[in-house]
Amino acid sequence: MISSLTSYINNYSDYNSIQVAINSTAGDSGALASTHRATWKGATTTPYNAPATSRIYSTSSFSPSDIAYPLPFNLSSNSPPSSISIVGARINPQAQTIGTLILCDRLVETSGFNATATTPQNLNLPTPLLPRYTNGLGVFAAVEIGILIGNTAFTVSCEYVGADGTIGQTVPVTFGGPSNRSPGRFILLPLRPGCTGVSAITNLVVGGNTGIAGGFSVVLFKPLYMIPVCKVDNEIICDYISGNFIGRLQSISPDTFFMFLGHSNSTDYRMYGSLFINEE
Amino acid sequence: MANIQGLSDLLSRSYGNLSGAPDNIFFFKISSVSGNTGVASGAVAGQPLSCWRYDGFPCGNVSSIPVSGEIPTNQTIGALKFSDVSAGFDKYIIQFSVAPNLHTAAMGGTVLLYDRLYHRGGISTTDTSVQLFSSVPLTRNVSGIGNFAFLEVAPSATSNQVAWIGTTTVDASCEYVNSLGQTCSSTTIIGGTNFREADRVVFLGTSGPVGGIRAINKLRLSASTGAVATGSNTVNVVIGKPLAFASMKYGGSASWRDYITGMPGIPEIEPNACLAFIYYSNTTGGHGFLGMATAIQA
Repeated sequence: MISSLTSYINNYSDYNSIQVAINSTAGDSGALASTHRATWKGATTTPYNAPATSRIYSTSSFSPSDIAYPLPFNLSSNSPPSSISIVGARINPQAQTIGTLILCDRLVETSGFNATATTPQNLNLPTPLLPRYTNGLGVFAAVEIGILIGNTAFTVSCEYVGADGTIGQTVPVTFGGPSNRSPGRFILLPLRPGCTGVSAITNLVVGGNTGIAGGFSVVLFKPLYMIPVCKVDNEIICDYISGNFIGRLQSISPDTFFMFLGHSNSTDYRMYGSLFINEE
Repeated sequence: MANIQGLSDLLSRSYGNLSGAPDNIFFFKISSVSGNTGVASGAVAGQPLSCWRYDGFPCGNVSSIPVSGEIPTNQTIGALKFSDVSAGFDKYIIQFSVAPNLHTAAMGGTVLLYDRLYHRGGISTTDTSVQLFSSVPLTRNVSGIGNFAFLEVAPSATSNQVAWIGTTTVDASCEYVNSLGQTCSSTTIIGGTNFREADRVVFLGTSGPVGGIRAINKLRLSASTGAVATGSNTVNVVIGKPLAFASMKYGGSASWRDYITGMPGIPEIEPNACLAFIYYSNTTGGHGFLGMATAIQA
């Protein structure tokens, strides 16, 4: 438990670092300047795909063959630890890349939708029960492109169960077309008035035939920290002493499944670094 | 502010100790209104834009603002939600970070987080008579110190239209009450290119002793801006209290205000505050952003 500056510093010096494996190669076809991109697969040549299935993301139980880098913890001391906190990070942008990283807990995913069908799609829906943040409070929903979809822009929206248990509809957002079709694109879904989070997705509607069915998923995730990457020439120091690390200090589950949303100034998202995780 | 006893105290509260009740609030705004991207295309480079109606989290509010005026709260649709402060505590924002969500790398801008203290709709942009405002006393930052006021071009519903008031630029003279309780007046311009587009914010100036705005009494136009056949031909007037600025230099790259490691001081979020956004973009066209704010109580 972090109860003072002293304990924060002491814990910080006893960190357990993990590698931030962000993006694959320069010129990744899915990367677009200033669009959101999920980087949870890390440094790998494995393509994004979207098999028709539902998944629960928990570090201790997740080992699908199509994932090279689930960004696991490397817990070393107590087992299980009584408390885990993220206390800072070091990020090194490459290739003159600046941008923003949003560190999230990826919770559940249902995939197998196509971008040509205009009737409601509910294959494998509703999404699985949330493994963490189970009431849905502060949990957000997004559509993630797995396999290239069409070049004609329409909209996508979902029916969902909110954190308060009521059913609502997300506001339609642009889907398909030049900026919203490539694997890895992560399209945030606006919630209905007064809604404070999502506990499940129950239905999905594509507003028109984008031209290529491709494949995509709906993902529920919890944003944890925001890391501005403002410099291109050296390491970005992120902690509660140096700054640049936005998000409350908090204890998180050992099963947290890290996902970075990359939000870059260029089409190259390559960055590397470490997260500092305190375990007690 | 005196309730926070130092960095140790602040970090401990951020962790949830000492009844800190920390909030970790993720937000985003996209350039559409009720799913309609065309209506959000009226943003003008270098000019402030109200995001009150924009989709995202929090959602937009497309309802007409009452002509009798009202005090929006944290429960009002469109307000960025945060947890209620406990009795005997005050709430403070300790971090605020925003990244522009644009599709061209060179784009940036500035986002202002403010407490929307009061708003009133239905102010005509064609009527040249004195338009009197009914009195609705502020319930937050009631002294007026630090408060600003602006006119907000009011579109109707969610139609796909960029300009909603006339093409003629005219003077808008406003009588207001300052934080000393004195009646003052100021004049700004409204209407014409760059001052007529949907959701455009036109700040009202001040005169005389400056400390902030407590109330708006009346407004009068020097001439009609000209009627737009399919326009609303109205603006809203809003009083707000600024809380945090974040200036973003490049598209995709976040700016941050960290009140833990940086100065000046830690802004207080008053109970029931209606947190909203104004966006200054350095480009014209559709806009959006995402970000995170954290708050504690002490």
